[in-house]
Amino acid sequence: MTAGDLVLRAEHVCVEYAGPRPTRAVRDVTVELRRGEVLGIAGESGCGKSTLAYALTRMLRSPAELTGGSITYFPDGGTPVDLMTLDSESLRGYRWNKVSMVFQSAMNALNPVTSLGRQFDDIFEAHRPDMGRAARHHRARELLEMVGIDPARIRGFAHELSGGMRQRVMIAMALALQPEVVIMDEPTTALDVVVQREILDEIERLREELGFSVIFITHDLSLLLEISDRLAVMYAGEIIEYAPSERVGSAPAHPYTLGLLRSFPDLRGARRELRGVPGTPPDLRDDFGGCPFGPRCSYAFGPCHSVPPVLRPVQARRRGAEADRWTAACHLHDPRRRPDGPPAELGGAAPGTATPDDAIGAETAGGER
Amino acid sequence: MSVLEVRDLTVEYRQRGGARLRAVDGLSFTLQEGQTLALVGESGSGKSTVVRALGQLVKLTAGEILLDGRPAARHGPALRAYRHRVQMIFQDPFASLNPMHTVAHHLRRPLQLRQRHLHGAALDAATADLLRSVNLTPPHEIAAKHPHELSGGQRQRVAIARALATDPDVLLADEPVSMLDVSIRLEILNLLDRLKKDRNLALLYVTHDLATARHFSSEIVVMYRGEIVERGPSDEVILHPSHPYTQILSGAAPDPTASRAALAAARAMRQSARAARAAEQREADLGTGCRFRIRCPFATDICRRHPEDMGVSPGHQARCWLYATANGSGAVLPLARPDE
Amino acid sequence: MSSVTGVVQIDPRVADAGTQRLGGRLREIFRSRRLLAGVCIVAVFAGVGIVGPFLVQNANALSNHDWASPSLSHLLGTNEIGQDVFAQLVVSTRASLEIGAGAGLIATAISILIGISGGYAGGIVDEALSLLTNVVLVIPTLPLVILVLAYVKSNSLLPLILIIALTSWAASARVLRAQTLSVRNREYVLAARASGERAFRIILVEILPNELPVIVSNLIFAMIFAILTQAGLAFIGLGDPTMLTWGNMLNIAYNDEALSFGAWWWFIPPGACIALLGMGLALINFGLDEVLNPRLRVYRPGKSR
Repeated sequence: MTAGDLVLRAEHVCVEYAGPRPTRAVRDVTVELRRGEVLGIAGESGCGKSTLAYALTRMLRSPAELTGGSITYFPDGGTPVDLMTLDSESLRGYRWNKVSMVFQSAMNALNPVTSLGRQFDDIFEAHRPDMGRAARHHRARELLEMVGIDPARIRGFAHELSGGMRQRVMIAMALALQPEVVIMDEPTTALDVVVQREILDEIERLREELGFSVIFITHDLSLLLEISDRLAVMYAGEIIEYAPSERVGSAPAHPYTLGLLRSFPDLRGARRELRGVPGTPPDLRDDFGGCPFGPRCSYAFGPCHSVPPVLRPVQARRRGAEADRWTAACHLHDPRRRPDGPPAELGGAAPGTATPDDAIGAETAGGER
Repeated sequence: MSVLEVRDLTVEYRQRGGARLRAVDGLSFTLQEGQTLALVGESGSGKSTVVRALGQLVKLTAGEILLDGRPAARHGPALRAYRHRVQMIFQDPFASLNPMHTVAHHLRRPLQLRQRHLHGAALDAATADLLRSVNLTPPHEIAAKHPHELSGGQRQRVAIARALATDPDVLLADEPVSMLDVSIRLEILNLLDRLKKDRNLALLYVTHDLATARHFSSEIVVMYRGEIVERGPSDEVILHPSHPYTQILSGAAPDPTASRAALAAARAMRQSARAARAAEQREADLGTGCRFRIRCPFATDICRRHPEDMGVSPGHQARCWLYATANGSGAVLPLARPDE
Repeated sequence: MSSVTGVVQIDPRVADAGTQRLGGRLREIFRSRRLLAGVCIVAVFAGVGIVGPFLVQNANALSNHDWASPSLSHLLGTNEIGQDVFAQLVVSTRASLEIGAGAGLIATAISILIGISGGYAGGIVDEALSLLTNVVLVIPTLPLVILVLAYVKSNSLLPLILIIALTSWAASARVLRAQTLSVRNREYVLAARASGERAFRIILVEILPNELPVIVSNLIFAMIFAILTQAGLAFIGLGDPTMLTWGNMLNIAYNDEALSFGAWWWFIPPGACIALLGMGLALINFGLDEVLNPRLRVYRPGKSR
């Protein structure tokens, strides 16, 4: 599960929905996906994460349009491809073959009136035209078996399956052409927690077997902490924290991330005061005067209302190359503006206590399980 | 003091082809004044049906509902009086408000149903009071809005205000926050908690989320396929889950504090325990016996007999043969707990 | 402004929207060109129908100038017995509008009553009303109307309106029943029931407003259907021959062989009027669709269940 070199990079991506006052849904977003890695993108409704996903697969439909940035795909052993330059033929070769997507609600993504076999056929006909009928049928059955569904169901229809099974079919379809990257947009949100756990285990197993990279998009931050290697937290169309998952749970850098984490009460921990993040996200049609999270932030100070923060490396996380891979868009981590460093719960050192690094080490070693 | 008591509640639906589906089977529990009871279960467990049955929106096939010790009315003005005292909050903030009407309309009607002679300025004042009690200010501006002009959290607050308009004694909250953004869920739950304390309400909190169930309730009841499989004080049930189903639920929740190694180990254990066809088998008809036995890692022959409620510890019960004692049911089984 | 206290503040910009609402809404509604065109056409006909008959000469007056082509004294010429065609056209407008509006409204009213009651009540009431609806739907309208008209001899429009209405409500009722079945399970209806509202109020206040777009659409179609049906009936000679309607004009023109006489001014205008009014109503229907659809769409942010 070690991350290798880059497979997908999106730089300075901007997406706008046209209208009398355009909605800027994605604002100057840069993400990188490494081979074999699981990148989590966390955020709530309206933060732009689904829009970003569609942009990465170039599936944006009017009125949404990509107004800036580049998306580069790095094939294994080949030359990097700028997705913006692809024509529709080459784009077809890219979509589903190299990058596929599992959509949000399988109920809506599966065709209710055609059999499952037919839908697999559609995939093969579009992308593997020289595959014979028998070969397609065989491969479809293989795929169903791979996700734990009785292959006899190939003749059945979507409504005969339960929610969890439909999602497995979606995953099977996404993996049909053995892509290198699978983007999953809230694949388990509509499912029960037990089924969700099954699906996640399934995804993990398939990942180990087939070796694809995953971009996992969800609002469930606690889930991402478990399954992803790195995660990006989106707010109001921007990435406000970009961190290794294993450690962001104990001491996040951005106040929003902290608020989001606190919104998931610990199941087995001690009872504590529970609060979420009061207020509502800003209107995406506006220009934000300063930090978009400023109005809701309990740590906001001077520059937060007038100067937009940029992603900068987070201090006090010096563990070799990891240091510059943990970034947050927050003035609290800007030594020029706040020489004392951020508050303790956001990674700063509390006066007179051990450094955060020691604290983190203690937590992962002596965890409850 | 118990306000609402449910005894042997059974609800059956007739399906196509004449077969009967028992969504709720012989449920019994009590709602206490000023307390929250959390009803936990997956979809298909029957928890939504329980709420609808208590709200008298579906007919009971058997069993009874007792309000203040007396059987709940089923028709006429007495039923209307029942409805005023037992109010519901629905899951979907987008669907529970009529898009054609203003917030004021939604609140005025129940206010007037309860106090017929409320008009004009007094009605407006009462509406404003309701909005203030759910922290929606300024009330006069919000009252004039239509649902599509409000956010999900705001709509849910309106739904809560509407439920409070008839001055109820019992609130039935059917997954009140699962369709809201994560960061505002706790706010809404805190609001419900505060209202419960201020007005001494009995709150039934139906959810599939164990974590909030634990933190916001004093008692938890776990449902599976229409019956209660475990019940007890919240901390007890969560920290010492006894019924195998509760253990699976508890293990399925993401645990941010666990290390990578521990997670991988847990996953490996689940993989080996899980049969490939398990998901499909869940739908099968089981006849008599414990309904969980097909998915249960501890199932044995005795599970073909329907288990009774067994005591695990004071106040904590589980419907599972694993906790049977020699004199309790005649079967002698090891008392060891299934967890490590 | 800090919102940490948990009190939700309203954005002051949004507050002003209310005052601008009425003017803005009208402008918004008429942004649809189709709607504008349709409303104009129907308004013209309505105007003609209401005041026209007072402004033109006597439509029944005979004169010596038969078969006269259009001139200043007879804007659309005269027919075989010297009656002014234009005057006839204007008077017919009123009759056709009355029939269209009357039959359309009654048919829609019946369909609302039967469709929504059945849909909401469920059970045996629904089954019975559905059966009724399906039977009426299947009965062939034209032969039935012909049969009834053959027996009923009356000078007024009322029997005609009633008959057309009674035979054309069924399709609309089916649509409304289906809609009601879906709306009645929506949570705001359940919430109203849980509050203790009576069924009648629930139907009137909660369900009906949400079905208004469909009802209006059905109404307009019913009107078009009524006008066309009546024109057709009159053309084949049914209904009161002395009554002035467009269909009657066509019938008489046909019988008097206006075509071979080349008297285009007699048979083209009535046909054109039928077509134009039908088109105007249809444009209103399509235009309303355009305007109402964005509002019909329930606002859902990116997250779903």
